[in-house]
Amino acid sequence: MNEGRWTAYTRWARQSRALLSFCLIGAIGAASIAIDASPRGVVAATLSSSWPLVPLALGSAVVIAAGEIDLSVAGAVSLYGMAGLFLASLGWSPPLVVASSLLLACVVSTFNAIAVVRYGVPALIATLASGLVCAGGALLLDSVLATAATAAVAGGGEPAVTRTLPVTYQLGLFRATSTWAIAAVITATFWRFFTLAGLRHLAVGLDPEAAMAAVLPVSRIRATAIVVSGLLAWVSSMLLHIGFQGGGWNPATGRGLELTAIVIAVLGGTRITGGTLDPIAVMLAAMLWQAMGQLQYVVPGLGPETQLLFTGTIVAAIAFIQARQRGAWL
Amino acid sequence: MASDLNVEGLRFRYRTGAPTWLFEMPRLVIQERAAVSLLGDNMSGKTSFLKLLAGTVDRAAIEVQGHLTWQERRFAVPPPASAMRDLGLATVNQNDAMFPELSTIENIVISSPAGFGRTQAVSRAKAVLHRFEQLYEAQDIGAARLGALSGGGRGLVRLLRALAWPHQLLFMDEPTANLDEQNRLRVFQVLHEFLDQSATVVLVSHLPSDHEQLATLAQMRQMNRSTLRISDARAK
Repeated sequence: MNEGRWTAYTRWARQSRALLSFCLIGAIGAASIAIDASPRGVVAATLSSSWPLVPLALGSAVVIAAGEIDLSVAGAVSLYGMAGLFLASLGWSPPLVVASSLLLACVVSTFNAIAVVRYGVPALIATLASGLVCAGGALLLDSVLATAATAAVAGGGEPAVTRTLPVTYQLGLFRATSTWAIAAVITATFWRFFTLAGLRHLAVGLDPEAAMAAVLPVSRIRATAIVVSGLLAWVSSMLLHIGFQGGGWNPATGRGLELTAIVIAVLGGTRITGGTLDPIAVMLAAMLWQAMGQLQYVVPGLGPETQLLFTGTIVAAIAFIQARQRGAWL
Repeated sequence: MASDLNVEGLRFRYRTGAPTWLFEMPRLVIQERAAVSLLGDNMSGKTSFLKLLAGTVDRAAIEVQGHLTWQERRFAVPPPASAMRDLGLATVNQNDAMFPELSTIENIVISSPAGFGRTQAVSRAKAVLHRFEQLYEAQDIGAARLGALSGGGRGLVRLLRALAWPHQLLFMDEPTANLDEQNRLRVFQVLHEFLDQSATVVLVSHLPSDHEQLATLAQMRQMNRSTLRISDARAK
């Protein structure tokens, strides 16, 4: 903290995974453009598909940094979105739909926090279980909506169900979904680098026993991390369900994203054992992940299997570089 | 006086099913501006006694009865550790781990009590470290990773972490353990430099020299000097 600001920024740039992700995104973007792809199209596709992932990955990074894990996010994303669609199909106003799905997110994430912190259930088990319950709830709502749609069509009318959350859910600012994601990153960055709460959060992840010796509220910090992860999953769910579904609601939206979020968090420099967090690097890692996913649409003849091999290789290479930089293999 | 620590009806035993209380203390007063040497045999419960009063004991492993009153607040023993810290209790335990990956100043700032924002906490920690650096002609300890410091240096930072914030009561449990003679002397030099004028010190140490140093400190600061033998409180 005694060094000048510029020195601190350059040190962060050198050590942060943000620089690595930025360079890789640039390389993939340049390669995509060189293959006769529209630059604007490549950038737009990467960014628009990244924004919903950013809060999810950020939530994973926050909870991992505190030494916990949250595997409920995939099922939670499905449930919150389906709950929103369900309520919207009943004619509820957008604010009420948003508030209700947010309330549901609070309940689920608080349940996770209580189970882990109060009752000592391992986070891996507690959040996996709640994730499965959420996924089941999403499927249940899907069957209700499908039944209602069928009944409406059988009655000669149009199915009065909502396929996506309407555009009125968008904020109307420069890029609607990006606003939510960028706001989350800015808030997390300020909290991480400019508050005592952020420092203490990392301390709990670094060494819970040392944190207790320093009289830090370890249980409260862990619980807060789990709740924040759940709330950021809600943000992702809303972003994924705003106008992205091309042909109907999908209870599988979010499926598998819990591992994607963890991978992106780790690519963004979050140590899997806890104690590190860089929200900007996580955001760039999410963009890198999506940029790699766009390759199959840009490179002629590059099928999904090759794209997966490429992505896996890149992830392994980045993890190897990070481990060597850290001087450890863990 | 409000700054006296009053303990009433303190009884303690481990949750092993044994009926005997390890120690019983009907009443104890630790006065303001006192330098107290807490003495007792190994395994007599000195560390447990301090942890009970500080609220840092493992509550699941012990059974305890009693109350303490301090700073016009009454708590059942063990009290909330954060509440005691915010009232002005500081603890130094040689077994307390710190964060070698964080910088020295971050290790100090992290323990700031309620009421200190980040800017204020950093400013205060920098001031303390600056005084420390002047005392020992050291440089830029604040920005250095704690893990880069020697064992003696980390021990002194552990003490600074406790003394950097307003404190009325300081519990020191083997603060000079694993330190060489030079650093043991430095512990008491730092104590003399940074201890609040009205603070009380309770020291647990198996080294007679540490208690001699505490006696010297008490004489220089005109503190009340006393000795508490934990064996006197053991259950009959």
